[in-house]
Amino acid sequence: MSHPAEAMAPPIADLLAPRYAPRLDDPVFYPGVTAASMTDRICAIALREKPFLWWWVAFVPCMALTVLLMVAIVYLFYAGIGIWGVNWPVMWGFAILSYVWWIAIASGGTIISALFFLVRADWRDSINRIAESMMLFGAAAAGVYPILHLGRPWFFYWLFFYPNTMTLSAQFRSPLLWDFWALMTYVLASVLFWYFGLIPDLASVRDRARSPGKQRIYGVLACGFRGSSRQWKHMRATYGVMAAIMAPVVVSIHSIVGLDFAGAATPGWHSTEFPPFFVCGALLSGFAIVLLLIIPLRRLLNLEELMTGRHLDVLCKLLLTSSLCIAYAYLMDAFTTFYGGDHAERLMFTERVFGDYKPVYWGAMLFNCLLPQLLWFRRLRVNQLVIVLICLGVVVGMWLERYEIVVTSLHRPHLPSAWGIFHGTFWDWATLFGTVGMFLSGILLSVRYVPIVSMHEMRALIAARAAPAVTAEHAR
Amino acid sequence: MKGVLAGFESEQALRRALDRLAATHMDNVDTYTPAPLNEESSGSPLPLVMFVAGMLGFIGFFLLMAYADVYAYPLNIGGRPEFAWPAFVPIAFELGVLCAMAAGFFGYFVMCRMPQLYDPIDGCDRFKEASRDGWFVAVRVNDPEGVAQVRAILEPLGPASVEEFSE
Repeated sequence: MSHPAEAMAPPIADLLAPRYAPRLDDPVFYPGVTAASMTDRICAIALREKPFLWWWVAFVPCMALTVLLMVAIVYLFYAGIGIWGVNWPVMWGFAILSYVWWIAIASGGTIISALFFLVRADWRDSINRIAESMMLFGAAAAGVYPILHLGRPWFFYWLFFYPNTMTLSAQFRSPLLWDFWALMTYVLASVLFWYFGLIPDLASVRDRARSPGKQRIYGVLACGFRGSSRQWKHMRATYGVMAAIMAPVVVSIHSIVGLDFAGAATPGWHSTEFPPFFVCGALLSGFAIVLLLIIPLRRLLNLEELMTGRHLDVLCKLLLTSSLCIAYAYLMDAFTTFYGGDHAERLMFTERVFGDYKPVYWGAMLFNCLLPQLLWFRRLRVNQLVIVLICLGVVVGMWLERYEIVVTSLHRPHLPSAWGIFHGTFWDWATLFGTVGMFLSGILLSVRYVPIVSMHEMRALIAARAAPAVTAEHAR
Repeated sequence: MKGVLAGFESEQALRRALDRLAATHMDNVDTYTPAPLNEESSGSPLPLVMFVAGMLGFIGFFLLMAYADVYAYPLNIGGRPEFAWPAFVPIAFELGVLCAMAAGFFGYFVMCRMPQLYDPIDGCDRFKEASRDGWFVAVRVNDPEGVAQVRAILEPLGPASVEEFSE
């Protein structure tokens, strides 16, 4: 049997042919996709000798931004957090809000991969690898910030609990410490979950590789997975439990991030609404980023047969649902503020809506609540341009929402003499865009070297569809 | 030890071969397939291992925090209770989860005796199809007569390939 390693790029005219346009009644994969053709195609992407031209066009600016991030970090460690715009009263600035933004993006990937595994959603199998890559690099981008914003980063190990003679203990009663452990668990568990699901696919790539170097590298990474009955049996059992663990973990981490705020007595933060509110935000930004990744990738990598209109339709519906949840949370935010009757809370909220930062508030409303309502229209749910624009809006809108929560709340504390204003400096923005570059570089590297579709799960799905009578109830 | 590796083009064909082998009381039969065969997935002890590891992690770290806050490094903040057990739950949960994930991940490698980068079966020409769309059954026997016996069972079933290997 032949392995068309380089027969990848279709003629441009093919890409524009109507059969590739997503439609609402698309199946989860096109008829004609077989286990062999799908495996060959996905392996050929990972094994391509030279990257695509578009890959370089995307990768070079992303790496440049990553270098900018490194410069920003080195300068921060040299000069201290005075280079940022934070000062009394806005002591939490870009570092916290970008951290929350990134962890939300990562969480959305875990939800798609883990939660929809548990509910046996068939559309999840061809996009879960992309969602997991997003989870991995989103968590990495978030993980940069906690050390940076410490002020004295060389004391970061005080966050660990260790025996010492300074009578120094970690404060286990503080949500900020919970957050540290939650983030660490999340990053490590994400890596394990991602790699575990990848092992059979690395074996597929190993078996298709022709050059001895790639055979060795993928061979070592696959750890000798051969698809034996023992390997499959334990993998199925373990992966299911891992997914069942990851789904609540992701809810827990974002709830704990919400408690970082709710635990403080600052106007605008001190609300029991925060944990579920933050989880809804995580879903919204996660679905948006997954759509932003699969829409270009399905075309550039010729994966329209595996990522069809069905996927776009489902993800758009989920995006719309989470947008409605967020709208409800915003509504309740306003309601509890005025129903509660605390003067400082009401003043802060009025400032948020009509004050210096009103573009931030109304931007979040527009991008997170109003714009996604377009997805009620069936035809727009498969219109890729509209989806991309809505998703870009959501990504910006979610960042604005975090800005609104962090900055607007802090700039009007209880004491009027402490009121102040905050603006990000060059180094704030450099760090933010630097992490964007780092995230995209990671995604691009994983597109280049890691099987971009979970091949073994697709093969199980294809086999189940081919012989429904025998296997339908055991699709996994 | 000798082995026979037969490849089939579909899961159904492999199942027929497995049924035939079971009927002749062959043991030492293993399958190598591109996707899990639809057998019972129960029988793996790993979920239980993960549960136990998770619970031990939860209890262990809970006790560690209680020890630190009550006994080793008491910290009085506005007279709040030192044994603030509800506040210990989130970290204990997270670390319990981490223990469970690590136990499942590393336990898998132990249970499957991985990493095992070389196996004599890798020498078979068609074996690489097992990670693509080939459904393989391997029967390991002790003597040359067994090889002939296995071949006699499998070859009438129309396999795409039959190869021998020795280990």
